[in-house]
Amino acid sequence: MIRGQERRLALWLLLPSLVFVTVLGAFPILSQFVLSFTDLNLRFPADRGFVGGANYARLVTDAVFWQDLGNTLLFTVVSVGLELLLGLGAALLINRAIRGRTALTSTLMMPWALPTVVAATMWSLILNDRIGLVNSLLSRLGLISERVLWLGPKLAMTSVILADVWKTTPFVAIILLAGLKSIPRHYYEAAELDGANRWETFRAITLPLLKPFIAVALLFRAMDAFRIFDLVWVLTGGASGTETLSVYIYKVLFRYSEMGYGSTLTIALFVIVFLMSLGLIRSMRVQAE
Amino acid sequence: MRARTTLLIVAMALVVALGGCGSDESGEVTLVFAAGSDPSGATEALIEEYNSAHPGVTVEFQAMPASTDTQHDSYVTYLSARQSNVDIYSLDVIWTAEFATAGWIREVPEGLIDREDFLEGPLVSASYDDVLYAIPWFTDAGVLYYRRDLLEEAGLDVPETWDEFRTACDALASDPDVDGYVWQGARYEGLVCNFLEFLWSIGGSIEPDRLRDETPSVRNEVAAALALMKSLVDEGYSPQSVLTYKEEDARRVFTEGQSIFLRNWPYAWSMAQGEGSKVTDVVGIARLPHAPGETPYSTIGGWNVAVSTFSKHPEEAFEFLAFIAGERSLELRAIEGGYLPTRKATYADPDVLKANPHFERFFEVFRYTRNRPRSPEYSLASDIIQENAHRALSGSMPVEDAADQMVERLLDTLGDQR
Amino acid sequence: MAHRGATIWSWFGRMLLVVLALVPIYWIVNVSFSGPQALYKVPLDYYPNPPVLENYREVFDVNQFPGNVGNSFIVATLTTLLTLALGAPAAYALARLRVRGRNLILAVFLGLAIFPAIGMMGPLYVAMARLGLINTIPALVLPYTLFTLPLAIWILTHFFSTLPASLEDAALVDGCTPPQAFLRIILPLSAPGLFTSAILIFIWAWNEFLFALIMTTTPESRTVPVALALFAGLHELPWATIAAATVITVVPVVVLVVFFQRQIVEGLTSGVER
Repeated sequence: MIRGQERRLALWLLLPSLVFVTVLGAFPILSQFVLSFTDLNLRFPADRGFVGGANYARLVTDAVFWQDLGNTLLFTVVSVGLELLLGLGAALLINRAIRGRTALTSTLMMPWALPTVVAATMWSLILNDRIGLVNSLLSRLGLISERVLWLGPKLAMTSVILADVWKTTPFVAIILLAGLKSIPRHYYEAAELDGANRWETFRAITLPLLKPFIAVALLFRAMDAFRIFDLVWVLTGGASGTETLSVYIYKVLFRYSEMGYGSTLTIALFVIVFLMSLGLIRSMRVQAE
Repeated sequence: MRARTTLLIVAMALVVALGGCGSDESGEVTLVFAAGSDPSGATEALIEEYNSAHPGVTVEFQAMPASTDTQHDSYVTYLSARQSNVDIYSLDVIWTAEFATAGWIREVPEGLIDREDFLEGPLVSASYDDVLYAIPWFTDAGVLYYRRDLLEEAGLDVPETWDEFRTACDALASDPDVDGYVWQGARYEGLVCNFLEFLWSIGGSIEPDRLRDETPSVRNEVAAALALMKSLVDEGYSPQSVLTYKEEDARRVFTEGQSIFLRNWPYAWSMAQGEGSKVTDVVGIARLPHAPGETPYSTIGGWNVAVSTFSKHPEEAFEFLAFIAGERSLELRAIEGGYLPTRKATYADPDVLKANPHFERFFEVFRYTRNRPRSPEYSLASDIIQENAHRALSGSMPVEDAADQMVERLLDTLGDQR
Repeated sequence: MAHRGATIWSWFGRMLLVVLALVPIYWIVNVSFSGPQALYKVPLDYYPNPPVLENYREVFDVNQFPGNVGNSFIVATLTTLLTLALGAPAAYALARLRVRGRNLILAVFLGLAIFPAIGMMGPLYVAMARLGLINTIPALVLPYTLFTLPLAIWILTHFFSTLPASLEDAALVDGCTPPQAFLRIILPLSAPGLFTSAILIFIWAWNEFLFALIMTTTPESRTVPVALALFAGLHELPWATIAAATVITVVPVVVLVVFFQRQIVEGLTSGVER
């Protein structure tokens, strides 16, 4: 294709998305930036004023913010790590299956197909210390003598991670599965002819070709995990060290109606996740070379 | 291109088909009443009645998820955007100050109701700064439920002081599977209700003026209350799991016969008598335990109804308000749904009493009720109490530190209120 | 590619996968078919004993629930279609054509994906309210598309870029016009990517709660997650009824997923050979 033609075609193809995103997304996002420099409280809109960097200064000394940042980081690292491992395992398993692939994939999709609030409600039932399935099974199997308080102060974060891993591993698996299927079969055939065993094949062919997909999965999962809200909200309400940044933002915005500081927090979260993502992308790219 | 145009046309068609509710050109007035869903159907029946009796006015019921938090956040979103989509709001008693100072709800016109008709506590919760902004709709207060059969068997009187309470629990402690006292200690609004009851039961309080003027005393009272709550768990009177209990969790333990005492709202009574309960007919209602010489106040719960400032038909809205909080409505909701009336007279109504004989007992207990701190910043205050109380209970923060932090931050938040 | 040792492990792995994924689901189904009191039995029954249908009857008695399922379906479908319609061409351009500022554009979409949706709720609500779109399908479809577009573009861009670079040229040499090349060669080959994106978008839209709660205020216009939240009483949580409602809402999604799965597998076997 001629250069000019190509450029025009590209423009036409990209324009609708860009216009859509700009029209719909620009205003909300920009208004958040602006508001982060004000002390707008939605209950007293007339009192709003420009406060410069005061909100950001408040952020730095906000103990709740730092604590929640820690909680969020812990949650993200552990659950995304687990999801990648388990998702890869699941994708490999399914890919290898000759029969029942459809059934397997559909089964795998089910945890993820549930609305988050429902999955969270169900997990809070299953993890209930008195009438929950887990404790019932564990005690029947003789593994515990006392009821385990899954949603109590010590295990709350573990339970939240567990519920999240259960729910979103399918997401990772699906992406990796698509990646696995995009690897041309004759690569494997060639490797087999060369006498490579499964581990060598995996390292030399599968993993490198899967990298872009792992990157996408990792990226989006990390971004999502860092901003998690629904699950935590329903399971624990943010208690016992499970309050994440999104929960805090939600409270500030809707409980205390503090639009100004809430916007500051939103921007802060955005910046953190953005930097994190850039870091991830850069490191994936470095590895690829 | 063509696919997108089609999509746009389809979308617009759907807008036309589904959009546009509430505005009438016929001169008819449509009012929208937003409240938590009513499983008994009484509210819908009342609205139908109203609509038939008032040609020219149609009231629509917008059922919200029952969760008080979800309602709060939705209403805040509408009202801060100055939307007129809802005319009458049902508001949790703790929101009055917040909504009133934000200018989101209208003052109730003088003479719409006779204040004397209403229970005092709820009436106070519907006012701010001595102005009435809402009409109390239904009320709630914490009570102590106990196993009458077990106490009788052991020859014990219903305990009144904390010491008597502990003694009773000790005497009945034979079964390891049965807990002494279950209440709501999860990190949510209910914890504030429970905490305040413990605080009041030992003679403490966190009224804004006391907070300001008698800070050290308040701080000691708070520490004592937290210590009391923690000791119940530490000494085994309450199970560790109480830290994860909300109303239903605690209620279930009791109706399964696995605890001797329960602190809960009145609704638990019907659950105790209902299907699946193992304790039908052996449950008693009493006032909460207290320190000798102190009064055991119960936290006031419940909901009020108010008219939105942005309603396009305030007159008609207030008319409906008077109806939905009127005698007939409160009676029907009491009979069908067990909602506790906010009008004193309703408690003497024979039909209401027939359907809810326990109301008489509740009425007695409700003589001593108190509101949670009424402040525009209540949400923040509640969060402060929840966070610090839960930390103290779980042992992740020493009781003394938790009390310090709670009082310090409450002073910041509530300090300028009167 | 059958190594014997591998097969046993694969089998074990597959069973484990199935069990882990399904046990909680099985539990929901179990609860949905059990009486409301069954949960409090000690020891717990692991199967409906006896099985009952009353929970399902309860769900259908509730006003509008079937309609809510329909709403969710429409919203999720339209979101998927709109996102793909906007995103696929854009991804193609980014992957296959020389675009200046390609990385910048991808970064913009990434930034959009990252921006916490909570922050956007207020302004988007106001915008929709001003346009009079509250309680309409577009009030949900438009924000949802906004949120799912970045993911779709990223996935599809990756997918398109895995296709051999010379594909279009080969097609052109064979006498196709560029649009024909796109339709007859590229599109079928990217079927896995398209369907993967479609599934991800659909399920995301299906599950979304916060925006749906704010943008819909009438029972008729609500979607499933919000409707499910409505089942909860002031204090009580009717597990059995919620379980039944959940099963009802998951079934169509599962059916759809199974349907899409076949497409993916088919798309593949007819695909990557050259």
